[in-house]
Amino acid sequence: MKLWEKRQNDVVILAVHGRFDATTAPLFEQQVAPMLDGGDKNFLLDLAHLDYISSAALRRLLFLAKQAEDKGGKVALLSVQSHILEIFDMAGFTQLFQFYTDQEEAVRSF
Amino acid sequence: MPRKPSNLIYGVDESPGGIALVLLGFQHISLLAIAFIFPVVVVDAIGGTPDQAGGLISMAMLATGFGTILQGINRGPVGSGYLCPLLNGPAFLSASLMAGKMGGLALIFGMTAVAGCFEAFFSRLLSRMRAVFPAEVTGTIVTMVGIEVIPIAVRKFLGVDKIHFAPDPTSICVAVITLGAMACFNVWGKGKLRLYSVLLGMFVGYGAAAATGILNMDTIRAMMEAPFFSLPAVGHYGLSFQWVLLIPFLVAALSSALKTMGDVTTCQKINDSQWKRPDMVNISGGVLACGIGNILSGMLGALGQSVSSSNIGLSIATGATSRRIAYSTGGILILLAFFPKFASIFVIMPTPIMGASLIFSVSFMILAGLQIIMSRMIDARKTFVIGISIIFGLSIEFAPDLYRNVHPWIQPVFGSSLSLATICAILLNLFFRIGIARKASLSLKPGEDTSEAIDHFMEQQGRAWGARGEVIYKATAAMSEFFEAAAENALTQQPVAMTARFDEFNLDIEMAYAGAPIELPAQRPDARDLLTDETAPLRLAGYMVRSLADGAAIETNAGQSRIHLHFNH
Repeated sequence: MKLWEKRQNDVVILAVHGRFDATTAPLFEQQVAPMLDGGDKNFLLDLAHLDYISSAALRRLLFLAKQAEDKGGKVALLSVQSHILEIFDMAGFTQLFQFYTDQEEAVRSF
Repeated sequence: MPRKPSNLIYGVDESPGGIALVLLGFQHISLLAIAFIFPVVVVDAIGGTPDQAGGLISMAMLATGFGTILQGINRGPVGSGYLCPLLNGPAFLSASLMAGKMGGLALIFGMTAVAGCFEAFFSRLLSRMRAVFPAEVTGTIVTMVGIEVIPIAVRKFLGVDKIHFAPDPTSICVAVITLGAMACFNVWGKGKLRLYSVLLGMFVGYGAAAATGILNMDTIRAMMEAPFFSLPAVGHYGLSFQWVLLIPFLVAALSSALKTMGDVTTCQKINDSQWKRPDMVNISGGVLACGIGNILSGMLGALGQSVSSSNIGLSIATGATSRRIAYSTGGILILLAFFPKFASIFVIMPTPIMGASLIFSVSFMILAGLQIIMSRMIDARKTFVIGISIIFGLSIEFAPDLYRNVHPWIQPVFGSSLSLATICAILLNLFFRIGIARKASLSLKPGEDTSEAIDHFMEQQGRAWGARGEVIYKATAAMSEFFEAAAENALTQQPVAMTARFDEFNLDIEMAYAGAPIELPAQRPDARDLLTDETAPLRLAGYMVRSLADGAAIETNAGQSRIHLHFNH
């Protein structure tokens, strides 16, 4: 998995590439934990280049959403491919996140 | 149950209604009319008269009209149920020329009827030949069906015909205007404009042809002189038979059957957004309709017929694939056989308009073939099946002289890029099936880096099997999900033996290990459970494994666990 970070207004945009599973989830946490500690609370995850997501990774996203919500922020998802969306849907996670296809619109939603 | 794709305005089971049916029928006939040149070519080659050519065109209308209606029937063994108009195409040209020179029109018609019987017999064998026609073979055939029309389409587009031997700037101008109009109506037009894009483009083209003098008063006068009503001379020339011509006509019938297979496969795909593989029973009905059509052609006194790929391209382009259009097209063709004055409107179509219409339709046909090829994962074996077949098929168009001295009996195979590519694809597919194991195994220990190994294993097998990418993806995801859960929850300390079995309809995965079974619950834990309940992650993993598969079962026996996952293919 590779992560690219950029910021727009007060939103952290994280582009996740490759596989997001139990093996790669610690890398995700290493990157996100300091941001939460530093006061970031709005996260937009760009999943356009995500190849695979496991239930362990979905749980990490749920924890992140809970932590962001506790700080008054939220997690939204951008450009989710259909096969990844199917996994979200199967796990019942589509109701837990807002999904966007346009980055500007997604950033405005925070 | 097929699902209508969103790009279709009228799907195969829908009806566009009265006037639209007539207009759409005329639109299809305007493309079919291009093939009326073949009876003229045959009569010309055997030294016949213009009256005989006219008679053959009338018979062509009658026979292909019946053939088109038969092809549209969706009940019983005859017909594919799709809009697959038939025409007196090039498949029988070479054999018909041989027969015509040897024994005149009677011999052509007699041999065509015999070829039709063979095609009908061949259709009965098709449903048992699924392994011979996997997606890469049918996709190659469909692609070549489109490519084969390119030489004639481009020649006509450039205004090259038996009077003009070099590209003609005025004709090119008319062709560009016609094709441009068709493309504009199709791309930017909505509803009716897209539906009738070819017909409207032709009107624009006829206007340009009249303005530039390509459509002159002499041609219009010839049309006006044709009789208003005339009874077609059915069976006027009789039938005869020559053993020596049997092989060329059987090869022509085989070419026609293979072309029908490709065309019906395209129809299946364009009418079903969930299309997965060719339905051989349906194809068999389509080939039988074509065979009966050829028997009818012989009896009535017309040349051999086969499905018109350009018309399937037209139905994709316009988004109208209703089988009722097949009935209206067939009905109008039969009527036109009795009214030569109206029929001549199509016969006098200027060459550049024919070329523009063909290029427009063929574009869609080639893309449909490529989409069928790419619906499966491709490995080196399939690359060779597709690549070598297309290369040798195209060699006929690039260097026709290379095959000039081939024995006349097998000339139809080497006389058409489609036939040669098809034969190559079928033989290469059978050859490269050698050594493909339908079963593959892998053993991995949970906790090690298993996801990449599973990914690589399934990717490699999926390509070798020619499996659908989305099915392999789901199986890989389910296996990875299990390994993650097994490692996180210490279900086993031993390696897990995995076996994957594949056939065209099923992918079955078995994972066996010494240790506790994983629960595969029917209900998933909710978000609150996942945040508070320690057992929820394992239940979610088990639920995902179960949901990713189309069927899942667990067996436990003396500390051994065995998970069966089934995926529909």
